[in-house]
Amino acid sequence: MNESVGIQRPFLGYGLGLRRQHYDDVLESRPDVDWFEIISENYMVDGGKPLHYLSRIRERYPMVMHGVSMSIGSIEPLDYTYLKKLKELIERVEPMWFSDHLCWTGVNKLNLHDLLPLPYTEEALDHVVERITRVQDYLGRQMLLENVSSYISYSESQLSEWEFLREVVERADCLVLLDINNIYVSAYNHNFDPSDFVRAMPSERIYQIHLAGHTQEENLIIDTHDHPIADPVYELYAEAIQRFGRVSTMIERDDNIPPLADLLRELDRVRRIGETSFEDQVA
Amino acid sequence: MKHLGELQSRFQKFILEPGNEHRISWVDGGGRASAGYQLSVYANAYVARLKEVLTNDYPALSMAISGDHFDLLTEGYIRKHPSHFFSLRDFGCRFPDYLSEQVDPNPDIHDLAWLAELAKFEWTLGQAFDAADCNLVTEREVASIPADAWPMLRFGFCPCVRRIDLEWNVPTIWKALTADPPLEVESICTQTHNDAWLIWRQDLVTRFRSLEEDEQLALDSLRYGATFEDACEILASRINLDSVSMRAAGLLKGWIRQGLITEVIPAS
Repeated sequence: MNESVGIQRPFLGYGLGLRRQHYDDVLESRPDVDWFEIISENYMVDGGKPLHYLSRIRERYPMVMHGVSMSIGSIEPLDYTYLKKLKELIERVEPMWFSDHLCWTGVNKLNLHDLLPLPYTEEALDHVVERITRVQDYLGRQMLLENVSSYISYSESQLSEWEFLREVVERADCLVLLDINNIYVSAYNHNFDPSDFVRAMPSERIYQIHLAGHTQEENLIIDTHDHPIADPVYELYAEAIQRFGRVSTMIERDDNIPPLADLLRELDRVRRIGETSFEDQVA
Repeated sequence: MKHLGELQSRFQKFILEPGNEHRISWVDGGGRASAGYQLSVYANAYVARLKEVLTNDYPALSMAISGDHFDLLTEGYIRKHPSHFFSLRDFGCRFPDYLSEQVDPNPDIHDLAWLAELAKFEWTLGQAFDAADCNLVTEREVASIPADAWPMLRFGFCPCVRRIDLEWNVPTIWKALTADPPLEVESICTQTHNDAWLIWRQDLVTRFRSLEEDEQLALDSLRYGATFEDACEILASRINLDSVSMRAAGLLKGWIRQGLITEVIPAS
């Protein structure tokens, strides 16, 4: 079913996560990448190479910002020191948008530096919605919220993950960064149909898509971002585009990082599938 | 029903102290893997991720004590000093102090007294790497200052400028261990005194060099707000009085050329 009729979301094209291993290559070869996503925390420094390359690459490419430490689902108070730095970086980069994850990263003033899943309960729903509203008020703009991969589910959960995500974004009036690989990983780990997740998403709020590789273990898939995108993830991506229409899409690669040329070839495949699926939808 | 806060506390406790919680009824056992295995993915990833951070922040150290010893030290640090930081950039800040505490009681590294100094050196390099950028003073600007203003001048230094004192030949060890391929190197203690080292960043490249004693004293005094005249008096206590002006001018010129000085502050 085509859910995208009348939707006017911005479409940036096909992008990559900016990684330091590729800084010089990007500046020297000006690759055919429509936009880059940066990890916000990597640039919350005072100066030096990270900010030097950020500015030079930003002059040449559109950017979006992606955070990993907001801990929007934690019971800890919101960290306004962090949010202030985020705000300053947003002012510096002027990204098309910024995102973080529907997760928590620690309690008792600790950061486990992981994207830990939330129980899908009414209590968690109210908690997260209230915090997103405060963050959006403080930063003066809507945020994108990403679904995470998970390896556990809680006995306490009352909703499915997709019901929970949809409720959160609609009540908080925020946008969605849909990670197709994360849907696939969690669907395998928790025995659900990934298409159910995709079909439940509010099309008008989906502003960005992440694609990435994963690692298959015996009874679990781990979201490692250290391999090329797997074929079933491409299939789910095609299904998503047929449903939502064109969505700004990018590849996340965080480990075992290949030369830029390899990622560009992978991005060509993403682009072909994205455009073909969109044409199928229009037809 | 468990509340969100209780679930998060239990989950975090399992990650920080895996194996200490025997009843994990709050994890739904309906997935493909057992509840204990599902949770262990998070606990294992926690340690692996932070070990990788320490390996990246302390490349020479990880070469110097690769293998089991490095694993044990990093895991010990991860358990003792969980991160309070929003950025992984800061996680390893206490590792040099942790190593200092470990060297004496740990028989595996008891004869590696230089380890903590090597860690301190590497951490300081990292601090210089992404310290704030500054506009730098030029030789031409300094040349235009009238002679009678010089005694009371003070100087602003770039935030990337760091000073450390080392008992061991750590910079030599660092260079050998980070060479490609790594080189053999012998650790040597200077025994009688600490060597003064300057670490800074110039044109995006992190640099370090040793300091003569008179330069170290003059530089330290100026960084802490002394006047040019104060610094000259320090030099006069170390070198021939006739050479002080020349030496002071030479040091200042070198610091300007190396990109250390951001501001010349006239007497108020």
